[in-house]
Amino acid sequence: MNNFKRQNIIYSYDGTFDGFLCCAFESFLRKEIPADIISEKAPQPALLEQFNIETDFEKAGRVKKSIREKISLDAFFLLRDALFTDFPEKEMLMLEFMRLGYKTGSAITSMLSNNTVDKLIKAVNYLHREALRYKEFIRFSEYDGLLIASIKPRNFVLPYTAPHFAQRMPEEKFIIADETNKAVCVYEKRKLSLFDAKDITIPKADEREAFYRNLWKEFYNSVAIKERINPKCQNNLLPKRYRDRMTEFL
Amino acid sequence: MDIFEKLSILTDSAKYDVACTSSGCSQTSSASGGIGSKVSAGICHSFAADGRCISLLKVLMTNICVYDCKYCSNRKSNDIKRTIFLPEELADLTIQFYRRNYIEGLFLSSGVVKNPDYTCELMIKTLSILRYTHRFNGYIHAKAIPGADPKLLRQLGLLADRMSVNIELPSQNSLQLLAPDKSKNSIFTPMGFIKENIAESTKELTVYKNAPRFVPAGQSTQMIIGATPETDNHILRLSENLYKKYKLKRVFFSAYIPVLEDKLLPSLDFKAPLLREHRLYQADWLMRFYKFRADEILDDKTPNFNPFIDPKCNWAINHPEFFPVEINKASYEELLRVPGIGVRSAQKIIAARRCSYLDFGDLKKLGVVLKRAKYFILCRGKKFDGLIIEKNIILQSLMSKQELSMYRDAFLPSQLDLFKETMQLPIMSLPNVQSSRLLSFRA
Ligand code: SF4
Repeated sequence: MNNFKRQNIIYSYDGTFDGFLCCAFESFLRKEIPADIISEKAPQPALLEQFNIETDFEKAGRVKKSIREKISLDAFFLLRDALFTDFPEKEMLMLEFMRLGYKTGSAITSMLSNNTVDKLIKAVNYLHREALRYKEFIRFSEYDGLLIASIKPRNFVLPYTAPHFAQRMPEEKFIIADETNKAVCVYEKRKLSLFDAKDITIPKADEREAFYRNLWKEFYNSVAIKERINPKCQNNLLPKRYRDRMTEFL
Repeated sequence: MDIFEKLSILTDSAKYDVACTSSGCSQTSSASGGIGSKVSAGICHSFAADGRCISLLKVLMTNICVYDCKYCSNRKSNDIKRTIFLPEELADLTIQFYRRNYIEGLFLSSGVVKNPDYTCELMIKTLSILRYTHRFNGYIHAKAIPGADPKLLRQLGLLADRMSVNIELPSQNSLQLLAPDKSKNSIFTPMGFIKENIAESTKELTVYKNAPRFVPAGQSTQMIIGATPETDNHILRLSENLYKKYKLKRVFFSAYIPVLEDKLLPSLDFKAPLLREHRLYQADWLMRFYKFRADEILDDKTPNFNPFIDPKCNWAINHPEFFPVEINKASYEELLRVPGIGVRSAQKIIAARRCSYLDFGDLKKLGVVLKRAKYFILCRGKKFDGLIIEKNIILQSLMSKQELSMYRDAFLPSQLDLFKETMQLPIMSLPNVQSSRLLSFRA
C-alpha cells in the first residue's frame, strides 16, 4: 500500500459520492495520488493536466462494498458524510483516509489521535452540528398552506435537516431553500425531493403570517428576564450568522 | 383583551419557570399521522436576551390566583391586570408556533382560578384539544396544581410528557413563611402520586404494549434560591434526596429576583444570586453525570460554594492524593475527576487509547483542556513538559477569566499576596469577605 506515487494530475468528477468513489477506484488501480480532486460543480481553472472521471455505478458499487467489508460500515458512513462538508480539499482527505483504512481495518474510526482521522471526523462532526443548528433555528413561513424556509449554511445540511421536518410534520407541504448550495428540498405527499435551484425568491408574508410572526416576537421579548440580560451568553449560544433569517430578529 | 396582550401578560408571569425538553424519550409522527415529534436530546429553538434557551411556549393558563404566595407577582393581594386563555385559543397558538418551528411544544402552568380542580380541568381541556383535535405529538410539560383531585392529576399526566410540582422553597420553614397556602404535604403528595403512576405505567407497558403512558419524560421540580436562608449544602442534599426518593428527572434552581416588597423578603435592591445558581447547576451536573456524591462537593464544614472556582476544580485541589492520573490506564471514573476532562473527552480517551498510547499532543485533539488538565495527569508516566507546579499558578489556570477578575475586584491589591499564602488548601475561605460584588452571591 505504500508504493503509491504522487502524480501531477488532477482528477475531476461530477461532485456525487459515486463519482468520488470512481476517483478512488482509479487512484487505487493506478497506484497514484493525484495532485487534487475537483468537482465539476465548483469548476476552478487548473494549471495541471486534468483527468475527467466518468461516474460508473458498477465501479462505485465495488468500492462501496470493499469499504464496508475491508474497513467498516462506520468508515463508510463517515466518508459518505464527508462529501457534504465544507472542508477544503475534502476529496484528498477522504482518499487519504481510505488508504489508511485499508491498512488498519475497522480500528480506523477509533484512531482519534491520527491527523487524517482527526480532521475528517471533525469536519463531519461540524456538518452534523450545523445540521442540528438548522433543526433548531430554521423558521418557516406559511403561504396558503405551504411552509417555506430559507437557509444559508456552510455545509450541505439539507440531507440531514429536511428528513427531520418530514417526519415531524408528515401531513404538511414544505420547501427548504439552501442559498449557499443553490438547492431546494421539497416535501409533498409524504415524499422528499431535492432539486438544483439557481434563483430563489421568497414571497412576502401575508396578513395572517404577519400576525403569527408578531405574536412570536411578543412572546420572545416577554420571556426574557430583564434582571438577567446577558448578550455574551446569548451570542455564544445563538451565533449572529443565523439571525438574519430568524423571525424574532427580523 | 386582544391576544397580544394576553400572551404578553401570561408569558411574563410564567417566565421564571425553567423548562427543558431534553427528556430521553423520542417519538415520531409519521406512523400515526398528525403533527409533532419528540427528540430525546431536546431542541432549543432560540435564546432569549437573558441567554436562556427557548424551547417551549411557556405560558400560564391564567394569572388569576386565589392564593397569596409572598414571592409571586400573581398573588391575590397584588394589584395587576388579570387574564385567562381560552383552551381553543392556546391550542391554536401552540400549533401555529410549532408549524413555523418556533417551539418544541407547550409548557403550561397556571395560577389557581376558583379552585385547584377547576384550574386542572382547564388545563386538561387545552391539552385534550391539542392531542385529539390537532393530533399533536410534540412535547408537553404540565405543572401539577397542588391540591387538585388525584383523578384529574392522572388525566393531566396521561396527556403530558412531563409533569412537575415546584417545591418552591428549600425548607418547610421557609415555605410556611412565604407560601402560607401551600403546605409541605400539598407539594409532596402530588409528587409521590406522580412517581407511583409513572412506576405503574412502566410496569403496565411491559405487559401491554399499548397501555397509555403516564408522563413518559418523567417529573421535575424547581426551587427558588436566595429568598430564604438555607445553605448551598442544604439545597444540594435536598436535591440529592429528591432524585433518589421521587425519581425526579431534573431539579431546577432559580435565583430569586425581587419583584415585590414584603418585610419577609429580601429588599428590592437585592441582586439575584446568579453565580450561586450557576454553582448549584454545576454541582447538580457533577452528581448526575460525573458520579459525585453531594457530600463530596459540600459538607457541614464548607456549607457554601466557593464563588471563585467551580466545584469540580475545587474538589481536585482539595484532593491532591488522588492525582496525578495516568491517561493511558485510568478508569473512566478517574478520568472524569480531572479538571479539563469532560464526559465526551473521557469517552474519546478510552476509545483512542485502544489503538495507541496517548501523549499530551494527542489529548488536545480529543477535546481535553490542557490548560487545566496538565497539572493532574501523566502520559506514559511523564509529566507535561516544562510544567511549573506552583499552587498559585495552578489556581489561576483553574479559574475562568470572569472568576479571576472577580477575585481581583474582591481583594485589595495588597491582599493579592494572600493568593500565594492561601494555597494552603482549602483555598480562600470566602464567607467573611465583605464586598458588594460578593453580597449578591451570599443571599
Ligand atoms: S399559587 Fe402559584 S400563581 Fe398563585 S400565588 Fe402561589 S405561586 Fe403565585
